[in-house]
Amino acid sequence: MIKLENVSYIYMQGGPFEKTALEDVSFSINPGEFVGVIGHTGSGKSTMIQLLNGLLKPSSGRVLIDGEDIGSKGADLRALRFKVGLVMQYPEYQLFEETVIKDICFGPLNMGLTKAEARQRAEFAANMAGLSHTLFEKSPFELSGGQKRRAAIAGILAMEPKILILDEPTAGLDPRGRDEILFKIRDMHKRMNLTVLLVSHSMEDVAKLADRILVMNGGRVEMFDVPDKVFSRSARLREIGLSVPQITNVADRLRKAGIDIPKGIYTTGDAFRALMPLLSEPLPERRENA
Amino acid sequence: MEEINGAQSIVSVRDLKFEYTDEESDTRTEVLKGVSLDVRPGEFLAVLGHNGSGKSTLAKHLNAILLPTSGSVVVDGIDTSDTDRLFDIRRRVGMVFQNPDNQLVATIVEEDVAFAPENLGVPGDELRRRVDEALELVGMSRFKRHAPHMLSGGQKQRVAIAGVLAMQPKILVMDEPTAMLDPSGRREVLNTVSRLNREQGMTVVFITHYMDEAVKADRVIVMDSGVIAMQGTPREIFPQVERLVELGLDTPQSTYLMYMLNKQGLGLDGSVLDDKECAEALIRRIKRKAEN
Amino acid sequence: MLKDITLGQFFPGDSFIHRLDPRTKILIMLVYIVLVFIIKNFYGYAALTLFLAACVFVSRIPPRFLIKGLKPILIFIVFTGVFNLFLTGGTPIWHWWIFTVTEEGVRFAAFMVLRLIFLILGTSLLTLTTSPIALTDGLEILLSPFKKIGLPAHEISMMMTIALRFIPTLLDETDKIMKAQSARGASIDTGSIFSRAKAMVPVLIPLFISAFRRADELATAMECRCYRGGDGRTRLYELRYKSTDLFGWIFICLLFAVILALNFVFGRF
Repeated sequence: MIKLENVSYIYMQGGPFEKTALEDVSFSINPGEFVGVIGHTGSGKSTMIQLLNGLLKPSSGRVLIDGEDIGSKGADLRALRFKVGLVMQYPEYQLFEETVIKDICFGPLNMGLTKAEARQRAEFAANMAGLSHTLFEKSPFELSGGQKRRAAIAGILAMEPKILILDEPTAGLDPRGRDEILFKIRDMHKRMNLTVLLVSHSMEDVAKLADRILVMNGGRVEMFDVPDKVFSRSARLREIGLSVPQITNVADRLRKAGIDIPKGIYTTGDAFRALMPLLSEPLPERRENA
Repeated sequence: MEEINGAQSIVSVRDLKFEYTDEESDTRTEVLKGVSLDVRPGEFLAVLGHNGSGKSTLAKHLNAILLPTSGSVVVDGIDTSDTDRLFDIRRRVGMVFQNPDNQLVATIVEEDVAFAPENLGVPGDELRRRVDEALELVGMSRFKRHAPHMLSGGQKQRVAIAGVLAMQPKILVMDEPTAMLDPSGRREVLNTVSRLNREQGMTVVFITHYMDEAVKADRVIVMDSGVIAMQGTPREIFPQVERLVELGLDTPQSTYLMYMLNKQGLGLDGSVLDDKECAEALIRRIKRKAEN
Repeated sequence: MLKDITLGQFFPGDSFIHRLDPRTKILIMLVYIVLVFIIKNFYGYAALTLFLAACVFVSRIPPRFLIKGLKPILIFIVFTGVFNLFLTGGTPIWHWWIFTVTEEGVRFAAFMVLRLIFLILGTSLLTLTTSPIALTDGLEILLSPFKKIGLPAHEISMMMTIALRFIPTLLDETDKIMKAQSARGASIDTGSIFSRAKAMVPVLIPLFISAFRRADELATAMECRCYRGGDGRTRLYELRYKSTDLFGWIFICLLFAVILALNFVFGRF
């Protein structure tokens, strides 16, 4: 579905401030997959996602979406953007219409849908994003921070993209707002059969949701694997300035102390299941020994 | 914990209420509904709460950006409603906000740091010294001739801190200074602030909704709907997982794990704050069990 | 495109030009602007070109960087040229359909284009070699005598400082909002000029809202840092004239004399 072949991207090529943001990046993502993208600021992850919907064109290499090279001359970039929905960082700053529902209709109307069709899609998307219909006719600027964020996500969702890319959708939200958004994203992924790329700084969030994790570092792909494999390399992750979930650290410490605990612990649930047998009432044979 | 009384505290908030009137709909909203609080000199106080809990409004009362509807706020012996001493108050309370971009005034780092003392009329040599010291304290001396917009978020926020340190304040009030930063930026700011607290004895009021940033605080207060809902040391507050979730906050994974295990009646130490303490408590228990 | 604007940017350095007092540079700039407009013939422009080239050389600013600054106003320059070329009356030298080019038109168009280019290059050089703070400080002091007649010298310089501080921030923001709306299918980087213009509405509204929010937050932050206008303020860098400023003055006076002489000797042509 998504395929990058030896993609490089250089900002201000030829100028005095030339900067290589991506270097020889290749990977592919399958339809319906949930991919977490991790990397610190400047690792190239923002550039990478902008390449995926044609906001940037690769300096070299090819970006293929559904087999189509988006850098080729005839490529229809607008059609591509409807297929690859990109929710940028702090997306609430893109809200501009008088009412929430009108704002969500902006994308569908740009697709050339009729007002009625756009409205229908907008209402569905708003629902998916968890906005109650009492908010539809309000000004987007009256909403709370979390609601604005969800309205902006609905604006992308209403275009019914096949691929949804979210750049740090929980940045700046409080824990409740963050959990709501993540829950909704998981819901969208399942119910709309979306391919999702979630860019995040939070290992905890990514660990909970992603099928595979793409770790970017210095403009290159450092790792691209299932969470178990990625978190098993916690030392390397720390080395490139990323943190592993706190609970993974706890498990690492236990293992170091000689306690037999399985690998791949990155949620409190995992740790709980692994620890219960070790901590609960002594096993029958032990009792006999005592 | 030592006794708190009015004379010892550097900030003393008494039954603070604040409401504003929306002029269009003529409705009154009560944001703070009677907050009483004392901050001791040299203390690191974390103020937690979800968005809209009133924590930022409380912060804005500490340097007279907002004035109480009723009740009082006294900073270093000065009542904030004493308008004649407005600048005496602001000089004592350094305020740093969420968005680093929207609080830097000048186009060069050191000029920005100089902004506050320039306003206070600090003369040439003293001004230079204060700017250099402030930049040194936040570890940004190397960048003093840089343009702020070329810096990372964490660096900008450190410049903002230096900008208020140059007033030589007695209290540093940080209003969600890390909310817009990436993890490394958050670490930078947090380390800078806790170092100022430890080494300079700076009193810090740190507002955040990240629980893990409150771990190092001497004391935590949790705000909810305009009142103080919880108060205590991190060790007292964090294990109260259910109450925190109710208030729209979460707990560090380590504390949460202990909470889940204890719900099964394991009786572990529930007040662990980080991975190290958590692992140690678990190891102790597992080893002891093996010995039995 | 937005990244091409060099006007208002500062190119840090330690050259002779960089070290001149900002007041000197602003006054030299005023003389320079007067010169650009009183020059009567191409010899004068040749002298001005030499002067500017010398300044650029001494300042060690890459000429490419300076010339790039012309790009955003290229349309304006071309428009001015064409407009003057066809709409100036006089001796016809070329005629087609309703278009007539006159000898005077050619000369006038060339003059106007040169004036524009020299103005932009000169002011760019000023802002590139002078830190915005120095520039606004210099301006504030130069304007302060007019305070007596009610000119808010400090406020003007403060506004300029803040504007310069926020230009890069707002450019970044514009770029981000344009991308966000493009991602929703707005025809900002594709489609006809008309549809592009219409597509600016979803960019401008969020931009204004954000600018107001920033202004609001900045005002609070400034209050928190004890801002209370220009009275009683001190400065990190107090401006002091140095001996080098004298060279600047001698240089611009010489240029002035040369250009007057060229005007006098060769007259208008």
